[in-house]
This record gives sequence, structure tokens and C-alpha cells, in this order.
Amino acid sequence: MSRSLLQDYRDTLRSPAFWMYATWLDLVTKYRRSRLGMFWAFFPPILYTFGVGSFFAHLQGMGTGKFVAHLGIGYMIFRFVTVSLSEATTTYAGHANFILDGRTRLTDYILRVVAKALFYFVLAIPVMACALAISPDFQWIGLVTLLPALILVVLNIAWMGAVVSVVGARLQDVYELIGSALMFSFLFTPILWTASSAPPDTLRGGIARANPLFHLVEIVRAPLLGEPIEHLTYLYLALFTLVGWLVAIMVYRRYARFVPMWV
Amino acid sequence: MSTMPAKLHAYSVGLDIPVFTQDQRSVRASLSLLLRAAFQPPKRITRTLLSGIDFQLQPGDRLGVVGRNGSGKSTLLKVLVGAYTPSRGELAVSGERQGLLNLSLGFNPEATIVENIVLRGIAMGLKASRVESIIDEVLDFAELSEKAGHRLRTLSSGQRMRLGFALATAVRHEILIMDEWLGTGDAAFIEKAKVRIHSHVESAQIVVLASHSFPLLRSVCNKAILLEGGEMKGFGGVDEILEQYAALLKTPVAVVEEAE
Repeated sequence: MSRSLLQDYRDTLRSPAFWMYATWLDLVTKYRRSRLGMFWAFFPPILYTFGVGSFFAHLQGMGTGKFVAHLGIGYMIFRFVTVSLSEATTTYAGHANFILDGRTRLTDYILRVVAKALFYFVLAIPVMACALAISPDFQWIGLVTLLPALILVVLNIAWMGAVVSVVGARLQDVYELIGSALMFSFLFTPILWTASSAPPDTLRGGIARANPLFHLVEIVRAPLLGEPIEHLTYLYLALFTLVGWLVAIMVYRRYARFVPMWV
Repeated sequence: MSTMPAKLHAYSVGLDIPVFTQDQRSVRASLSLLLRAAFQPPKRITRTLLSGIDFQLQPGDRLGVVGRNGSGKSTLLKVLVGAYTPSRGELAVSGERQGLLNLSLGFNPEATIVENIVLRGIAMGLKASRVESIIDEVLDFAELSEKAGHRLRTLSSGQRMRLGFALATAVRHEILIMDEWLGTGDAAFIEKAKVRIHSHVESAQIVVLASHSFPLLRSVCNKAILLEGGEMKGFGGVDEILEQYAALLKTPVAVVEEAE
């Protein structure tokens, strides 16, 4: 009588009404009482991409046009992944009333937080498009791999979300751990710096390449800006996705049925 | 509502969970105790919450669940409603289940009352068009029609309970699972709620009701199950089981054993 992660995700995708509506309510109610409303959702990407972007371009001694797109896209992918994961650690506690009512398809609650993060990512697309338009490095051909790369990112969020949400329902530590780990991993993700400035044969380059976010950011961004993708990135992501899904399926099968008792 | 006959069968259902406890054997107020509480890791033990639950319910059956506080009544209801998955045995269910266990349902306090009704309706598995049709009825029953566009957080706790009750009972299901008789809101509302519960109990094919009230159980139920320390001590006709329960109440509480 254990639950299957694949089966649950399939059912969740087939009946999206609950988690889509719940996400929508989250979003509209968040901005309902503010004067500027949805503008606040656009504000962080604009600030990061153009504000922080031009500031660091000067520090790095790179052209603003070049660096703004690099930082903006890198940050948006980083935010999409990290917000999804850190909210996933507490999503079951937040939906305890629904779960105890017998709605035990836990993937609904994972997709609810992922959908919210995805919504913010989508809102940031116009900002990123502007940044790409002014970037001298922009490659049209890079758009070909954009969609498959984003799907790969979502697939990885899906398994990581399943693992951290189930384990997080039992251990409060996970929320703290994920929070600190993600904060720390920002430094080892090529957002404020470029992959070429930390070559793989150096210590800092090695540490950075152990970080999955390094590769998730690179595979989406590098083709757009004509930066080279290392072979390691393909290999790393293939293994990471495959092994990750296997782990997630096992964790979910073993522990998902205890979640209602933990929340 | 489908016309398929409902069933609720439990075949030697048991529920074990790993729990973590702190050693409380030497409770003396001393510095070492305080330090130990901070650094001693919790002990992991397996606890059996339910065992040997075995019964078959057909359409028309009304099952009373009796037992002392902490005997596993609420846990059993959570298994029957589908929240907890049994670790042993099997639960065979056909028909839609509705639990009236907890009325402080998952609400979004910043959304309006109507938006919350829609959210809850979808969560109960209703189609969007069906949700549309229950909105007015729910607002009307909860006496909140003039507050439809207000944010949920502006409601008093009594009003929230009314909304929860109206929502949970807006749709009729084949199997109704209830914890105690619900008494919410002011006297007039309680009266109205009682009438509605009675009509739900009548229209449901199978009802499971946990209660301590003998007269209520006698008037509603035809069968009963007695729990003690998570074990099923008896299942049968309601009068027979209530007698067994009355006799059990005179004996001291048995100590529940915990396996390491």
C-alpha cells in the first residue's frame, strides 16, 4: 500500500485544477492589497538584471551589455530552482488540513510551490528578453536548446522537490539545511562570475562543478550567450537526473505514506 | 452521486508508526537534566496505533466507534477517510468518502470567502461548474451572503466554523465519516446543523460515527466497534458492543506495550 511517485505525478498533471487554482489565489491575494500590485513581481528581476548586473559588470571589468544578460538569466534560473526547493520543504505542513482530509496525492502540493516559482520565472522572461536584446553575445541558435534545457531543469526540480518535501515533513532540519545550502551555493554558481574564470582544474572550479546549480544554470544560459558548455555538464546532468529520479522514487515509495502522520 | 452500492471493508487493518521519544525516567530538576534534554537524541521506537481492525460494512450500515480517550478512535477514522495508509491488512472501499473530522479546513486567509469556497470545492474533487452551483447554497447556509467578497481573515472563529460546516456538508457522499456530533456556532445554527447532519446520515449509504454518547449511538447506529489500546476488542450489534464497553469502562486502563 505504498505510493508511487510516477503515478502520483501523472495524476497530478492530469487533474491540475486544485494546485493551479491554489497557486493563482496565492499570487492574486499577495498583491491585492498593494498599490502597485503586480509591479512588485517584476521588480526583483529588473533590479537584479540591470541594477546588480551593471554594478558587477564594472567590478568584473566586463561590458555592461555582456554581463547584464549573463547575470540576469543566471539569477532567474537560480531563483526558480531554489525557491521551489525551499518552499517544498514545508509544503506538506502548510497543506496539513488538506492532507488529513484524505487528499494524500502529495505531488499536488509539490507542484503548487513549483508552479508559483515557475510563474515568477515566466514573469521575468520579458526582462531577460530585453537583456538578451542588448547583449552583443546573443545567439539566435541558442533558442533551439532553450526549451529542452528548461524541461531538464523542471525534471530535476520535480525529483528534488519530492525528496526534500517528504524528508522535510519529518525533519525540520531539512528546511534549515536547504536554506543554508542554497544560500551558500549561490557563491559557487556562475552568476556573479563566469565559468571560464574558474577552470575545472582549480580547486574553486572543482568545488563549483560539484554544485548541481552550476550545471543547471550553464545548460540553459550558455547556448544563448554563445558560451561553451563543458562535456562534464552533460555527463553530470544525465547522471544527476537519472540517479536523482531513482532515489526520489524509492524515498517516496518508502516514506510518502507516513507524511500524513508527520504533518 | 453514483448509484453503485457503497462498501467499506477492513481486513485485519493495522497501523504502525515510528515515533521518537525522549527519555523521561529520571525527572529531577538539575543542571544535568537540562543538558541531557538538549543533547540526548530521541529514541526511535515503533508504535502500534491500530491492530486487528476487521469489519465489513454494507449499504445501510451505521457504525458507531467507541473506546476510551486515546484508544485509537480518531486514528481509525483517519485511516477510513484515507489520510493514513494502513501498514498491515487491507481496506477495500467503493463509493466516495466524506470526512467530517476537522472543520477548520485548509483556507487561504487572504482570499475572499467565495474564492475559498471554490478552492475547497475543487479540493473535494468537484468540477468547476459544480463548484459554481454550490457557492450560493454554502453562503446561504453559513449566513455569510453579505460577506461574500470579504477576506476570510475578517471572519470570526464562529463564522469560520459555520463556513467549514456548510462546505463540508454541501455535497452528499456515499460514505460519511464523522468524529463526534458537531456542535458549532450559536444555538440557532446548532439546531440547523443538527437537522442537516440528520438528513446526511439518512441519505448516506454508510455512516461511521465516533462518539461517547450512548443515546446518540443507539439512535443512529446499528453496528459498533470497540477499541482499546488500538486493538479491536469487539465488533457487532450496537447494543451488544455498548454493553461490552460499559463493562470495560469499569476496569483499569491497560498499559500499551511499545516495541523497541
